[in-house]
Amino acid sequence: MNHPAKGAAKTPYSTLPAHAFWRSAVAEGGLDRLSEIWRPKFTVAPTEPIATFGSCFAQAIGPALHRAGLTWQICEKPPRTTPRDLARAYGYGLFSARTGNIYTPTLLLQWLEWALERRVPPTEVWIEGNGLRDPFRPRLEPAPFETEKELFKMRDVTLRALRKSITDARVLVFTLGLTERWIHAARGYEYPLCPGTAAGQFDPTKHHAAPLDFNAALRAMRKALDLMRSLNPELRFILTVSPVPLSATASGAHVLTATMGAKAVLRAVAGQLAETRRDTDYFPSYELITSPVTAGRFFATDHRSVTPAGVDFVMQHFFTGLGLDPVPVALPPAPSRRNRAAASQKEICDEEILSAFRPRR
Amino acid sequence: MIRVCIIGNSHVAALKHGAESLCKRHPDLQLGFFAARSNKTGGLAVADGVYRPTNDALADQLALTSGGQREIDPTDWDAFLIYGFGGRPQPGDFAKGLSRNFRRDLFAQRLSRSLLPQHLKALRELTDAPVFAALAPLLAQIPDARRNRLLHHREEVALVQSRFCDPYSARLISQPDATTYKDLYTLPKFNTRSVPLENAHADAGSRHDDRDRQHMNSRYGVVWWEHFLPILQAALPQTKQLQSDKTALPLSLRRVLGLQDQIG
Repeated sequence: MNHPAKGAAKTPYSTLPAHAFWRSAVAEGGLDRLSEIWRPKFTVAPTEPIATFGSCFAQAIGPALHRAGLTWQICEKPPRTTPRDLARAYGYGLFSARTGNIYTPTLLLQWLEWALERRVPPTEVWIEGNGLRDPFRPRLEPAPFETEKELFKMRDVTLRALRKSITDARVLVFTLGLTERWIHAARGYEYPLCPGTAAGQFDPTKHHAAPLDFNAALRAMRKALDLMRSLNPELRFILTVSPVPLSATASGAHVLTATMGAKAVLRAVAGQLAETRRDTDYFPSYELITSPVTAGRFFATDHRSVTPAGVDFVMQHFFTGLGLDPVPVALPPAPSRRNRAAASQKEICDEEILSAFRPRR
Repeated sequence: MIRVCIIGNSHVAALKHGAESLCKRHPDLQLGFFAARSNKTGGLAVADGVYRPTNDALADQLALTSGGQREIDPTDWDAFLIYGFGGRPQPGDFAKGLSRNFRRDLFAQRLSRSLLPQHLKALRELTDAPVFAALAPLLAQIPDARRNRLLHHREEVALVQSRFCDPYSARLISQPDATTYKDLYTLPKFNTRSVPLENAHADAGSRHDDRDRQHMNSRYGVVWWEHFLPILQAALPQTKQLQSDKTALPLSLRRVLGLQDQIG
């Protein structure tokens, strides 16, 4: 749809603002003049605690909130004097609690049900060398835990922190990442990664793929939001969809179509919730990175990792939407192999491990 | 004669005071203290076969603590002791809710940023003589004790020995059991009336603030030397042995050291 010509008959499009038309909002201005892409449902004051969870792309959001002067709430912290690299290596400062990446709506719901004591967390552990891995965050720490007692104690610490982050936050930002998931067939619980990839051993009699369709994802996300509101009726949600493509798919489809299919489902779920719930908004980080106007310039050479400039670009629109002064972002030039080779993703993306299982030719 | 060179920071003051009675009992023991506050001995550098200050202020400080020597010539000493590095957790640190691996890595990172690795490397570059190291004493026991620890001392010792000392064929000396409480803290009696480094080599009577939980007193120094001397002698040739007379110790210290049976 173009701008209506002068003198043309009145239609519902006749009085729409410039941002409603592709030519004026996108084609003529390009990235530099892209504006009003997000008009928040609610304001977020700098003093209001914001919790962040989600897939690996979400790791960039919390630190950006902090840099912008907003109150990023972290409820599971290392000692103050811990060097930043060490903290990150142990999963601190990535999300509001050390849940590791939460890729799917059902995984979020599972963590919440454990934290709110609606379900008892499983006692399954994975043996690695002389130590033990937590199946629900297998790469949280560089080395395995030494005892079961310690593993469960550390998980309890995280569950308490997760609960506190929901209780104390005023806004929770959740980034949806995947629809493919792996479950324990008999017991029904979900693993963040396919057993046998990051740790553990795959057993086809126990471990089943259980991809989410739109209805299942929507149902789980609704339950998760309701559960959090039952603990904190003041809590509001900002949902985003990770623009990071799948590292691999076990669906039988090509990874490209599987990626676009999953993102379409998640985008639709987030949109549906934003349209039907007053407490929920959708922030378009997915569109800002992947839409035609960016022409892929925010992806690194693997066409998967989002560059730091891409993260900055997304967060600039986030802060602009909230009426805050964003830090100006120097937009990268149109994509070329050379430009993108220099950029690299900083996030800890467990799902990347799946690439290691690619057959070599 | 056994000649021991001690390189350290403010914690050396307790050793200096503790050594006074020790040297009276062992006239054949010669101790050389090369100490400066905090991380100031980081200004030492290997040059021309000696460990030499890179600035005059440090040279002056070393001359003050050593009794006139402005640099460390490794040929002057039979053994070396690096003492007091690896600062203790500060208020605001906590160990609750941290995995053991994390606590170990955090402790190791802190130690890697101390002067211990520098001094170990430098000394091993200069000499084949025995090199010993000892960490800063455990903090004196405080009421909210659980909030101020990362590792038990035995675990610290094993970690530092394997990660830092073994590569330089050095030995880490643990804090004497008689001075510790639950392997986490120093008994408060070893902390009262501790003396700052600047007064450890003079007769000035100033003391550390009563709230200071890091620095130990002369009593601690005595116990520490009694703990260390047998280890030192075992590392030296038979020709380098001290005459030992533990009955010369004050009765209270003999009790601390568990020597009652020998004096009864």
